[in-house]
Amino acid sequence: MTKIKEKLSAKDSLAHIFFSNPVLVGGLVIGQLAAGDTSLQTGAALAVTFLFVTIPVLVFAAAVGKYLPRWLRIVTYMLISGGMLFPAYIACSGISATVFDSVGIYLPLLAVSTIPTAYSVKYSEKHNVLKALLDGIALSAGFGIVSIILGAGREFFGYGTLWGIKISENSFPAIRLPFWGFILLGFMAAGIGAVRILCKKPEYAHFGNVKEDEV
Amino acid sequence: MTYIAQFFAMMLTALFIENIIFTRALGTSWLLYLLKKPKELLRCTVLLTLITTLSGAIGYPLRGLIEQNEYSYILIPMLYILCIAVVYTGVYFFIKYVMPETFVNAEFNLGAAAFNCAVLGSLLVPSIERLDFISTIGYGLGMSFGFALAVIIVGFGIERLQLCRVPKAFRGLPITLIYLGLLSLAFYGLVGHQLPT
Amino acid sequence: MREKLMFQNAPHVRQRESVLTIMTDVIIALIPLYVMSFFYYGARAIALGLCGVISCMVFSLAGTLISKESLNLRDLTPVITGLIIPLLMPADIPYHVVLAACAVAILVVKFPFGGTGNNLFNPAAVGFASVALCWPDLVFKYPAVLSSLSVFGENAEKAATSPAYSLAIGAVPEYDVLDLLLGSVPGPMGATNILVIIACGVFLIVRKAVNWRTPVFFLLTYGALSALFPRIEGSGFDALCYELFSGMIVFGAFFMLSEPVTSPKRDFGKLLYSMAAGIIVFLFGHFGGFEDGFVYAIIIMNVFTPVFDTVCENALHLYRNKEKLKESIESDIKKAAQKPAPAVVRKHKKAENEDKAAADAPTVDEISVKASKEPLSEENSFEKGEISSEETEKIQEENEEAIADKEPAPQEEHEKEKEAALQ
Repeated sequence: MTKIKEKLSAKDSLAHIFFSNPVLVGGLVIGQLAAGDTSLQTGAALAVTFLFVTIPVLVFAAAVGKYLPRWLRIVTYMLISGGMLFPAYIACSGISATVFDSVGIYLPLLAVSTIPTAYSVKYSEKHNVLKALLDGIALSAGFGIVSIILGAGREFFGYGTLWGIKISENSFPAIRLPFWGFILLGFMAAGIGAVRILCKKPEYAHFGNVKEDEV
Repeated sequence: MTYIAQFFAMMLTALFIENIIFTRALGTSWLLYLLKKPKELLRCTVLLTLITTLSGAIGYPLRGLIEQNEYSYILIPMLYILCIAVVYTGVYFFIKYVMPETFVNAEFNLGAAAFNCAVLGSLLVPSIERLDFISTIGYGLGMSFGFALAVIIVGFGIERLQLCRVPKAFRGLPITLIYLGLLSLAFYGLVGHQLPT
Repeated sequence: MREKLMFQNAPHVRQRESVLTIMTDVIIALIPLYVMSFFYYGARAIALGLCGVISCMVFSLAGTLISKESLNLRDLTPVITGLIIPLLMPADIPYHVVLAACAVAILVVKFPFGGTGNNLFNPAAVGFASVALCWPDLVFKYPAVLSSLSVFGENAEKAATSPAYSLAIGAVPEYDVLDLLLGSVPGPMGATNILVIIACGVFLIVRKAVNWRTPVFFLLTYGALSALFPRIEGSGFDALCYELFSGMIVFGAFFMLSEPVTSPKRDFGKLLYSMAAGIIVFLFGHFGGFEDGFVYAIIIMNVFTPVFDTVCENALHLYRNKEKLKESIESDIKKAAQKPAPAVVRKHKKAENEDKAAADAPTVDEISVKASKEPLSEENSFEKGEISSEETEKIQEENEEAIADKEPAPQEEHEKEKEAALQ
């Protein structure tokens, strides 16, 4: 069973991009997208920050974390993710001058989201460094795709612009409210569920677990 | 007397009008976890209240030191994460050695209660809105109770959902998110035309 | 015998009302409101109603096809939703707002939860609530009454404010109570004609499409709170009339609060639910962000419907089984009263083991010998609490005899010891 799991591990990691997406299947990091992801620029900023915050924590957890005392593990992960906010901030400054005003408090909150806190403890500590790196890249890709699509859609239908460039005369500004974020994410998650049912992949019904499920 | 009124006013605002789940969507992942394990709700709420209050009390005076800095947007969250880490360590060892029988069950919940978006969000919102010490503590308390209220309210709906013929693609997370969205819509009836930051 | 018994398939309890008759009655009750709207605002009111109905039916058909369910032509709930939504809006609302409200009502509130009968929230309330948040300037500004509105073109800018807005800012509305009753005030298209709404509501109650408890107790609770805490100064009766007849309170009480899917099932549950709704609507009116927060209060109340159902079922269960409950409590008390008898035997045994020197009293020995002679089978084990009543009585009698005959013995022993000590 362990050998079968090791063979499936790369496939599991890459599944985080779509079938086992952390947001739309795992239900993680919902708040930042529902309330903070209101334009394509904010979506890109959130994706870049997620990358900076997640990958170092998962790699550290796999390499060193499992040897630390239990109480020190999560503290160290949080200090690393908090520290990585600074380079993420520098990287996001290149997106736009007003992106931090648009995204508000939701960008720094990625440092304490569920991936660096719980996923690192539950999964990465049990894996090797390469698997953790692959997980981090796939999770970031999965999160980034959702944040960019959601942000682009909300900006286009809400203001008729994309990346600040006027494209159409749409005006529906309330789409940036959190309740529309929840509803849109719900429908996107249902879309992934429908594709999963059509492709007959019940093993990805549960985020992070490789097990059969009645779909 | 004024301070008491201010404290309760801010607490009620954070509990209902600016509920951390329904109006700011913070802590949703933890809410989804607690829906599956309702028996841990009381313990998690107590830990959440403790961590938020202590972190707010420690972070408030330190915030003034870096508020005027050019990079305050990112330095203030980093400072608050440090404060939460210190409080977490203190509470961890306090419960471990003073209440060892409680520690067995509380160890996992303590990590989740300390490091989540709801706690950091309840510290960042008062810093953005420049609230004073009493209002900061009141906001933190109201946030904790509002989080528990949100879990209870969503729990009612999830039980009722078991009786609905939800289409296959919507079962599980999708219908829960749509339900959360509709509840968030109802709470916006209290907020009105104003949109939170 | 066969002449007296009727052989018939289930269901055996039949009544005149069915889902189809209820839905038809609600549609019939909504028609007079559209007639009055046509009188006040012209053909645009009818056009908005048709727009609502057609869009709801199209979205419902789309949802049915996507979910691969069979089409039910007797399901008139999209028609009802499509008729209610425009009645909550101003008469000159753009058509795309009605379309958006219907889309939310059907595609977000009904379809993902499983269709008709499975929705957790009132579709019309959610549809209106969502567009009110999205376009508050369009939804809460009303045209003047008897203004001629063009059916398809743009209309003049709105100048009139509703009585609900006046109440929200603490001002006395500039209309009489009679104007409010007759509907000659600016406001939601179908929610201002109070007399017509009450007549339609009575029709629904008589036809048993609506349970009378829901609107009556809701209006009583809301009216009582409004009378106690009015938002405006003035005579109590006027303030009460303004509070009750402004906005969507009366319309919502008959057509939205009493929706059978989202309200409790038992009569007592409906009563509690409607009283709680009165309190929540009152609070939304005083502390809410909109001039009319009725629909938001409905959504909150829909969340607590299962709570009312559970409370009523438990209360009903207790009430029906109160006799059995009394008997079980009394038998528990009797069992608890009988149990101490074996403890007396135990005490004497213990005393014997602890103080052998002082335990010369033959009665204690006799009792303990007797007790030890009786085999402690599993069925009669004291630790398992399964001593039969006959054995308990037997032991009780023996104890009473022992106590009556030999009670002074321990005292005599103590006195002897005292005398010995003194000596």
